[in-house]
This record gives sequence, C-alpha cells and structure tokens, in this order.
Amino acid sequence: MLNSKREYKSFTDEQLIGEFKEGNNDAYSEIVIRYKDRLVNFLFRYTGNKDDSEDLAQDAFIKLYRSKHLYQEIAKFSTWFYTIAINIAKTSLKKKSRMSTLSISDYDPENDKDFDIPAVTIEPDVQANASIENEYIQKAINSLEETYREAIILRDIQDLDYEEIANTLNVPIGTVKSRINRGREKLKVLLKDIYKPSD
Amino acid sequence: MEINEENIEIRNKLLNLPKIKANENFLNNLQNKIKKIELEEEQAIKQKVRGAGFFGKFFGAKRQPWLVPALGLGVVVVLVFSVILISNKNNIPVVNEKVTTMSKDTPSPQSNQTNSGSTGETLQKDELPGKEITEDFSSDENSMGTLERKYTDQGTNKIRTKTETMKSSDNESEIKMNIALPLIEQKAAEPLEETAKNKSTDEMKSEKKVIEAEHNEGTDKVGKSEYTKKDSAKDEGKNNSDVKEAAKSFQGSTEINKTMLQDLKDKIEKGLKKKE
Repeated sequence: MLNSKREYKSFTDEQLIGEFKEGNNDAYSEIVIRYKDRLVNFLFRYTGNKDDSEDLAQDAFIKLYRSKHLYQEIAKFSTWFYTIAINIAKTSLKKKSRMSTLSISDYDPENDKDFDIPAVTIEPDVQANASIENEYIQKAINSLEETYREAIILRDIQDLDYEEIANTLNVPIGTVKSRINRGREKLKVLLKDIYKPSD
Repeated sequence: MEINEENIEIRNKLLNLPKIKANENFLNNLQNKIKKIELEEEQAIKQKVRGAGFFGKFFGAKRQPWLVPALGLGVVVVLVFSVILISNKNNIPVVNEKVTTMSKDTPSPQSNQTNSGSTGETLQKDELPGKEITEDFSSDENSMGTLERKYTDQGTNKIRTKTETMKSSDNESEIKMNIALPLIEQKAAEPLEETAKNKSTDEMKSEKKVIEAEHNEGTDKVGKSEYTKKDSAKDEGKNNSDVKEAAKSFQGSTEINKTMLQDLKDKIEKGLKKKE
C-alpha cells in the first residue's frame, strides 16, 4: 500500500492530497515519505521525547488518512498538516502533565546523568560538547512557554515563513513576529553563557 | 529589525541543530495501524447492519439500562399468571350437563298434555312414549337444584312430573339410575296389578309367571308369551274377551315398559359417556 510511484514525486503537495481524496493510495504514500522526517523532527523538538514524537507522527498521518475530505485548497497542505500535528502534540502534553511529571533524567537514559535545568551561569572553563550543547538547547526550548515554543520551532527549526506560521497558528503575522522575538530573547537568556552576544 | 538581527545567531544555532529522522520501521508500523483501523471500521459497519441482536440489546455495549429489570419483571408476571391459570383449571370440574328447573325454562307440562288416544292429534315431543324423560339428564353437575322428571301414566295416558332433589354432582348418574329403574319398574308393575284383578286367579298366575320371566330375560320372549297365552286360552276353551283384552293390554304395557327401560338405560349410558 505504501509504495509511491515515480510519477507522484513530481507532484506538489496539493496535487498529491487531491489524488488521495479521489482514492489513490499511492499519493498518500508519497505524502508520508515526504513529511515523515519533518514531522518527527518537529514533534521531537516540541515534546522533547523521541518515542513520543514517532507515535504522535503516526497518529498525525492516521488522522490525515481518515480526514482527507476535510482538506480545502484554500490553504497550503503543509499549513493544514502542521495544524493537525500541533493539535495532537498539545493534546499529548496535556495528558502527560495530568498523569505524571516528566523526569529530566529520562532525557538521556544512556548516559545515566541527572540533568538539572540549566543555570544562568555556566563555568567558563567547561567546553560545551555538541551533543551536550544540543541537549541544553533542547531543554531551553522545552522550558519556553507554549506560545513562544511553537513559534520558535516553526520559524527557527522548521524554517517556515511568517505567513505560513500565521496560518498554522491562526494568529496575525505581527503576533507571530512578536512571539518569535520574545522567544528568542528568552532563549538567549537561558543560553547566555554558551552563546556569546554579538558586538 | 534590530531585535531580529540580534537574535539571528540564536536562529542560526537553532537551524543548525541536528535533524531527527523517523525510524526505518515507521512505514510498516503506520501500515499496520491503518489496516487495524480499516478492520475495525468494517466490523463496526457489519455490526450496525446486523443490529445489536437480542442479547446485545440487554447485555451489549449499547444496551439500555431499563431493559434488564423490565424483562425480569415481565417474566415474573408471566409466571404468576400461568400459575394462577393452572390452579384454576385444576379446581373447576368439567361441566357437561345442566340441571334446569322445568318450571323456569320449559312450559308447564300440563299445558302440553293431550289425550293422544282420544283426540288423535299428533303427539308432542314431550309426550312421545320412550321420551318422557327429556333433557333433564343433560344438566350441570355443579348446579344444585331440583330435577323434574316426566313420565306417562299408562293407565291414564297422562304426562306427569316428578321432582327430585340433586344431592351431589358425583352421585348424580347413580341417583338417576337408582331412581329411574325403580320408578319404571314400579310403573311397569302397576298395570300388572290392575289387570290382574280382572282376571281369574289361575290364568293370572300363569300369565304372571310368563310375564315375569320375560321381564327378567328380555323382550325376545314377548312374542312367545303371546302365543302361549293364546294357545292356553284356546285349549281351555275359554275365550273371555275381557281377559283377552286385559292380557293384550297387559302385554302391550309390558312391551312399552320394556322399551321405556331400554330407552332409559341407553340415555343413562350416553350421559355417562358424555361425562367421561
């Protein structure tokens, strides 16, 4: 079923979803192949957990499979699809927050380290390893508020334009810009000792 | 814009973060999930088409909570009614015969009396010989009342009634048998006694013996008795017309009484059979 034909690789996302709405499952396969990595990455940055990110990505694709008739060609397909993914991620985080608190130690089970929330000051003589740096950044992103986090991730990680982000979040472009700026400032404070400010 | 430029490094740093990719089994897992969902949807559609089923309505997922206690109550009510019906059937006996008071249901027998011999009119149903005892036998066993019997007085050819009280439904047939036979025998014996007075003693004795034998043995010997009587009368040379007439009438009365007996017996037997 999930075997994409060569002819669909030249189709746009909107053309693929149109084909899928007509009952062509190969078009759906192409959509999955195109978006699975992007979606997993986005959801990982949003939730901070890789296993959860894959499950949530599959849930998003299943929802796409069942509600293909809801897509309207007014907006871009990516906008509509990211909206589905964000809603699924928000629902999952709400459920988790009710059930139990997330332990920071689970972030990197291989190293068996207890991670604390990064302090404002970091010892200057400690050279940050790339992986550790990435972990700190991820933690800093996770510590942001939801509104700033999603704007930052969509803009600075997924590299979407302001208009698309505004359509995805269903907010004006100005709001998107202000959220992005405020989110960056907060990240800057959190990662102060890692990133030197520009002159 | 300065704000954006100041924070461009952060944006660049974020953009340079490693991209997380999906597992190799991501597609297979997704395919399996989709198949499961399709199967579940097909089963849901089939179940909708089938319907909940009888037990599903009571114990299924879409059951209505009020159905189970309502069903239990209905079963209890049905059981109670069935027990009541069965108990009533056993208590009420089978009723086939009705006891009717002749005074209420039928017209008075005196109004129906006619001298059939003198007037020559056709006899009514109640007056026919052998049918003096009418439908009084077909009476309800439970109805306790009086039983009026009709019988024709052979001497006067008049219809007379006799009232009898019913004691119990079980002994009704026995009472009827016990009452009927003695009455008929008694009536049969009455003409014997009357005619005997008009006859000579010797002839009467012989005739009595013959008649009694016939009465005990049956109606087959009636003819013989007639011949024997005639022969004896001829041999002796005595052709007493009065005696002959008395003998004839006596014979006729015995025949009539015998037929009455037979009819009575038949009716009683029929009545008993009906009860059974």
